[in-house]
Amino acid sequence: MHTTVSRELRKFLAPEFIFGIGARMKAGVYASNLGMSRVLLVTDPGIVAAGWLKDVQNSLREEGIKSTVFSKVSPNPRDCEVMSGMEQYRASDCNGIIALGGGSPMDCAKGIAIMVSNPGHILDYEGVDMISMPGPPLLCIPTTSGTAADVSQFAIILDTSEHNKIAIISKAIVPDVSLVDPEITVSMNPFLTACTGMDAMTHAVEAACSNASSPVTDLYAYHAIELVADNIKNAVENPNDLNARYNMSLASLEAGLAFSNASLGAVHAMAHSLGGFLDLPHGKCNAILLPHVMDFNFQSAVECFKKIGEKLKLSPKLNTKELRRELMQTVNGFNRKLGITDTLGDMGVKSSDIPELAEKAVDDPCLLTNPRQAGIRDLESIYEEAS
Amino acid sequence: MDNSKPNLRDKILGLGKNSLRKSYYLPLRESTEGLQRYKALLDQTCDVICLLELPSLNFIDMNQSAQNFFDIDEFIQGKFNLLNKIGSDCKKTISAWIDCAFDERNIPLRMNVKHHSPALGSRDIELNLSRVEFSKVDYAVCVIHDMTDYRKVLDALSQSEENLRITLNSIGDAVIATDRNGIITRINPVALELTGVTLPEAIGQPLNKIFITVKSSDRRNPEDLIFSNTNIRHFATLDNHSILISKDRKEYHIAESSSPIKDDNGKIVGSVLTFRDITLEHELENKLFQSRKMESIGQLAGGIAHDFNNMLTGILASADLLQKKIDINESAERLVTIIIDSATRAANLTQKLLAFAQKGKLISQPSCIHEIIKNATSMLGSSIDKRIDIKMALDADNTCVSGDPGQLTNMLLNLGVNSRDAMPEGGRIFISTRNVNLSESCPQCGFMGLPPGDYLKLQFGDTGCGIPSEIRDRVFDPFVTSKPIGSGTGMGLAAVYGTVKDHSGAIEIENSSDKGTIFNIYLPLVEQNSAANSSKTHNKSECTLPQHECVLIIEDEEVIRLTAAEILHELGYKVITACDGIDGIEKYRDHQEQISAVILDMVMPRMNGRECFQRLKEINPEVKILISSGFTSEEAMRNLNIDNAAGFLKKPFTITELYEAMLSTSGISSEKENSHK
Repeated sequence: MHTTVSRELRKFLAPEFIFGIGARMKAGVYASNLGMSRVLLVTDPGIVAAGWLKDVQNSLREEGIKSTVFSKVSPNPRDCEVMSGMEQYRASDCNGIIALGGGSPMDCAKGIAIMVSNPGHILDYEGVDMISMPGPPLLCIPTTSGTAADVSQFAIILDTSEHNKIAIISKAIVPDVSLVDPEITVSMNPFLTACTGMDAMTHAVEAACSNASSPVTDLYAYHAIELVADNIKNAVENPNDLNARYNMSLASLEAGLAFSNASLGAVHAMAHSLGGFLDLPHGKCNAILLPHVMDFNFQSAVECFKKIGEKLKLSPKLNTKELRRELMQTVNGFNRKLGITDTLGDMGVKSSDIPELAEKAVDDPCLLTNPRQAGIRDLESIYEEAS
Repeated sequence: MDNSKPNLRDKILGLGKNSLRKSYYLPLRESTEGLQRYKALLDQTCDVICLLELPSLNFIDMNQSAQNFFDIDEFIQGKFNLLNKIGSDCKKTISAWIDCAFDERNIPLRMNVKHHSPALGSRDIELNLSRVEFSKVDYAVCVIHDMTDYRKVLDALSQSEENLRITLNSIGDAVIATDRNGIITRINPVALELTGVTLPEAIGQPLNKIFITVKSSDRRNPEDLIFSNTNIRHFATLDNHSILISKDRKEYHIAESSSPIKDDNGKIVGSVLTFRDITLEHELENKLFQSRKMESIGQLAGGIAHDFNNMLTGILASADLLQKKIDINESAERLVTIIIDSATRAANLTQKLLAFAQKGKLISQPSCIHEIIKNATSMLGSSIDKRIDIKMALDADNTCVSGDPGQLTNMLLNLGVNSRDAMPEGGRIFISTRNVNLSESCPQCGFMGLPPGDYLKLQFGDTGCGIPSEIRDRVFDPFVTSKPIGSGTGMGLAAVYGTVKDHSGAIEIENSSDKGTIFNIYLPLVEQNSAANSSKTHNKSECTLPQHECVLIIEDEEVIRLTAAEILHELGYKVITACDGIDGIEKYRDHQEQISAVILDMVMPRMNGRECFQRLKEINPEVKILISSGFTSEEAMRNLNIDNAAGFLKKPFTITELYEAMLSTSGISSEKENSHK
């Protein structure tokens, strides 16, 4: 165990959440508790096809709650989608929002909530603590295990004019209630399971290594690393293994609780820049960048990485240098086993793009809590290594 | 750790000032306080304000005034219903309103009713109901004003207004009140009648649109009665020379005045204008003025006519003599004829002038009053209502009065017209005559100023409505009438009076009641036979010269004196002349035995004709005096007992006229006639 426990002030914020099989069926009751009578249901076409929407609508109907569906949400939700969602909310005279889906519908729902209560444009609220007026009641039902938007204070929105993802970080967009139902995640395909699972791993690792971590966040971060390591292969290979799904959902939740309070690091800063630039899947970007950032950060957070090694079942007898190498190989091993074998170059990133990607990443608030201070040159070399 | 962004780091750690999770505390507290403020506001309002469920009309919310009004100690949502708290008489109206409250027009209900509040007793209330939508649910808002005190004030105000209105309407003068901008705020019926507008036409209009006046002198717009340099005058009274032009273009002479209306602080807030119709008075004034003017002109014309006549007498007589005396050739003869014709025309003109002046018109000739009465009644009979019956009892033996038959006829006609107007439904006129002798002691000789003697009493009566007692004393004054405005001049009886006076008579009202009126007229009698004397025309060729007769001419005008002397001399008389009354008396005394007649001028210096006449009579009561005059004033004629005169010679005179006048002087004529025989 490391001995340098931070004694700085720390805050831990988590929404009220229901975790477990069938949690989605509580949607009606909780919406009612939150005073909703007409609900804007934010989701995406894939979820509608999977049939999960019906479950939620039935539950709402049982409580006499009307709903209107807003499903025009892209992967990496766009500013314009937020604005049109807000208009639909107003036109339907709603008094609450339910998000059903992965990170994209949930972030979009958060954006709509902001715009319902606040003036201007969604891009006006980029940054930390920029929201003065809380939005209407927000209930999240995640359909993936990784994004953790259901517990986080983060919303990532694509600025379509700048091709950049902006981060809105505010306690005000922590959902009122989250219904985390592992059963829903069985509908994820293996690749999505892999990407979201590696997203959760990245959340956990970055929260653990964050210079804003705390004893409480550490509890969730390290346990989440262990859960992902132990269950991701099974979840990918056996999609209907509810046990694996349950553990992956738990891992995602715990990683979310951890990073929401300890924040993230360079992986997310660089992944946001990448995702905005090429509209790439967030989880996959994280998975590719993670080992390189761990290598870059290693010397600045040796104690953290030792604990991570423990959770990844590495030998406790490894020296620092060996540990650093083993961690890289383990994470790369996960990616390989899960089928995430592309480099950034494979995904279309050209070397000429790297300076611009680094320039955008260096301004991302996530970089602030990275254990090692990173300049543009540092980020450029990490992008190059990952290419 | 990046120390360059400490604030951002604090925020990420969740330690920033606004690093709050969703918190509704602040906005909630603000909105709660807001609600409490509104509630306090509503509770402090005197009006009753409630929110009602539709269509049940259960109370959803109410303010404190509503709880007091409906006597609800503890308000429980949905427990109380408006229809149970309000009188049964307005339930029907409210139910009917609910039926149509949901249509698009959403017409609010407003009703004024009596309400019995358990706490406040009987109240006049105004109840308002309107539908409102809140969160897509319909409610009714009920607002009740307690109008009880307001109604009392209104009643008092309206009573006060009514009193003012009655007062204004009772004023005989026209009254118009305006605000400080000259806009009419009040107008009474007299003013409406005179201006010819209706109340709605007048109220709110500028005064000068309704009250249109011009000056009667030049018909220009008068200076503004109300405003002086846009300020209201403190007080203004215009003279009585304004003409009000009504809407239907009628014109009224008015007397007007205005004064400002001041509030308690002495600030001028408007003006009040009063005026009255003085058209009638104005007309009377005009008549009086006209009459005085005519009198003056009459005096003037009379004076000029007198001198004119004297001169014309000389011209005419001289021309006459000239024609007779010298043997003139034809052309000279024609010139003399021109002189005589011109002088005769001038004499006629002078007569017209005197007629215009209504002086000297009095022909004093013996006239039979019965003939005059018959003549007048036949004229009356053809012009008055056939339902009026004229009865006569002409019992006088002596019917001869001295005067102007035309004027006497007019007098009777005036009386007849008066009687006719007093008998619109018909009736009876009776006329009687008899001879009376008035002694010194009788009332007619007393206050009526008649000298004692023999009179003809003419009684003229009718069965009409009588003369109102309030004007009976003034009935002979000019312009006094009991007839409706426009139908009588008030001059009829005044003319009657004048005529009677002109004839040295008197008039009295014997009786006047609603049964009828009786006038008594007294006219002095003259000898019967003098009336029968008709003038004869004498051709100058027939003139026979008298012998040895001596005539005294008393005349101040030398021209006339010499002319007359020359004519008489031509006619064969001896002539003695005197230049005035005193000289005349002396000459008469000196030659009394010789003088068989005197021609006496009436208007002379030193001693006038009348005095001279009396003195001559004193010397010799039998003296024959021929009065010569072109004009004598009314006064002089009245005081002269002309019946004692032997004749009247009107100036200017021609030879023939003088000769005829001499013949009519009985003594002379008889001698003359005898001499002819």
